[in-house]
Amino acid sequence: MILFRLLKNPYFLFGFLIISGMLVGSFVHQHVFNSEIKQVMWLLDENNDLLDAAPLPPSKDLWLGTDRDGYDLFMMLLSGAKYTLIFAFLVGFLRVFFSLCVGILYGTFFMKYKRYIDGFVDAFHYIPLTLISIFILFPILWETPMGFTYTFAERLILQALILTLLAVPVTSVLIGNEINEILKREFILGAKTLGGSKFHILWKHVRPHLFARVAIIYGQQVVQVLLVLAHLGLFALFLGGTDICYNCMGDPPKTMTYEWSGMLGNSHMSFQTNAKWIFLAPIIFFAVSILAMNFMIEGFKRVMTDRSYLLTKVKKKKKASKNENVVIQSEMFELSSSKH
Amino acid sequence: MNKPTRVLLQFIVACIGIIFIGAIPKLFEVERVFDEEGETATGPLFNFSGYFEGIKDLFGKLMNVSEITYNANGTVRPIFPKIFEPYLYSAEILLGALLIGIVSAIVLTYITMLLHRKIISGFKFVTFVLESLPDILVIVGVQAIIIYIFQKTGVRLFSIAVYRENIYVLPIICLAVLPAVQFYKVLLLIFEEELEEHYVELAKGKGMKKSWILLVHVLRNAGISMFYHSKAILWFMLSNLVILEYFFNLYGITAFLLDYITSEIFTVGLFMIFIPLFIVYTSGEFLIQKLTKREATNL
Repeated sequence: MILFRLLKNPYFLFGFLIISGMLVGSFVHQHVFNSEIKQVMWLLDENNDLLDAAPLPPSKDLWLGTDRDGYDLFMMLLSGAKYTLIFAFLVGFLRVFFSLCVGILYGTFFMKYKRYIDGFVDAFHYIPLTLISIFILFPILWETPMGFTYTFAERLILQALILTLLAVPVTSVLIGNEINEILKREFILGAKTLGGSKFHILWKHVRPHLFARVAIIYGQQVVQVLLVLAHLGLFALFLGGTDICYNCMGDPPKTMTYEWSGMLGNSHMSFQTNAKWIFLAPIIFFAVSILAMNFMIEGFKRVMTDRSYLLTKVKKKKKASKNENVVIQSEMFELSSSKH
Repeated sequence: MNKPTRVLLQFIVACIGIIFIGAIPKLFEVERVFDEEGETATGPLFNFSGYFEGIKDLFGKLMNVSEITYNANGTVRPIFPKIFEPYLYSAEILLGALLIGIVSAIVLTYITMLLHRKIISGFKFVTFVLESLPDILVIVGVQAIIIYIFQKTGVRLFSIAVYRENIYVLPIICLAVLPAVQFYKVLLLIFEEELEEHYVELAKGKGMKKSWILLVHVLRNAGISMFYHSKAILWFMLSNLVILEYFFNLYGITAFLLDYITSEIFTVGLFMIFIPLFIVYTSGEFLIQKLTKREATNL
């Protein structure tokens, strides 16, 4: 079982524990603690003397400190983990799914036009992904004085779709070329000679070889989505839309779900002040989850290239078969002529 | 089809791609209706007819590039030649960072290859972790270190952030960190592969020192692979540049594009990034093909 082998790999296990820990923590926080966020405005000593006031720096009780209103940053970020991570996983999945569909078509049928398709996709290789995401998402996510053009659900779907579509051309070409490489191998020729249909060859022969590659691409895409979300957050484009309050004087846009891009966008002015941790906390959450994803990818790669488990399998079989030979039962040599 | 026509066709196809991208916001322009409840959108989610209209419109505007204008606080000015100033500044920073990244990666790789195998695998792990850090954290980290040094010693190493003034050292260092790590990782792999080649064995057999073989033979062969890898790394750097310019408040090309964001200005900006890179990479590939072919015939 592949999952079992993966979990035995320290790299994969480490990344997996962090990611699942954050997700589980986030849901526990939501359902058991009702998404409550600790607020500490004043820090007092035993004699009720004021030690410090919000924003409080990171300490033993408050792991990442508090924001200006005394809310615990760690809890806010933990609460936002589910939205951010699930969105990243979802967009990563959509990217790979669409790219697979397009890539299969490209790899099996349109290789004749490789030069032109690659040329078209090449344009995407010179365009900063962040810049183009801001350019396209700004009119959708940024609230105008007259309100949003789209509803919250529409904004969320559009953001997911756009972040997906921007990556599909490059990823499809990647997967398409990969499929084409596999199709050129000798065993495919054998399968074709034996009369396998295109679909049969894709499903039975290409799919197993493609699986590892696609899984790695998926992990990389999730990392890329997290990075883009962090960048968008910096430019105050939040997940699902930036609610701008045009009536209240200069109040910064706020995120209600504590998803991380909003947390980042809300706090980036804090970096210029003494309360640097308010800004660093969401970045650290982004960094840790990206690092954890990369650990999982690395672990997966190692498990995939590691063939030692096959050897042990063969050895076990050999051992087992040897033992069978050793056990000689006396009935084997009995003649069964007595019944006649 | 001969080579120049093919390159030209590729170029045209890529240009069409950029125009298609530049018009995308038109896809999301919907009609708005005002009533008591405020404003609501009508019509379909995707405005395809508007999109094709936008492509046509964009194409027409790009035909008269010199007439494209930007609106700075009410005054309308043509973008040329104004756009060149931030553009060249960005180019300087990008090239500086690329150069520093490559040079430091080569030096680091060269030093690590002379070390013991176990130390190398430790270095690889550190590289892996560093490479996974988001660019924002790197930029913030470098800034924080500079501020910390300033607070402790009173020495202001470099300017942290500026208002419309060109600074170089710190942005270039910040931008160079991640590409340096990526180049370093790639180079380590290439070097290890190269060291298993036959010519290295032959050179060793002739009594050459490892340091000499690495410097003269392996490095030269690694150059070609590095050229191909540099494309992906450069793409990554372009995204980092956006963040960098925002963070340091630099007035580069991405800041300009985001300040005066319209389809045509954005597309012009994309072309200005795309065309020089296309020329460099196409001619680079051409040169490599020629050089390797000549070497093959000389053998």
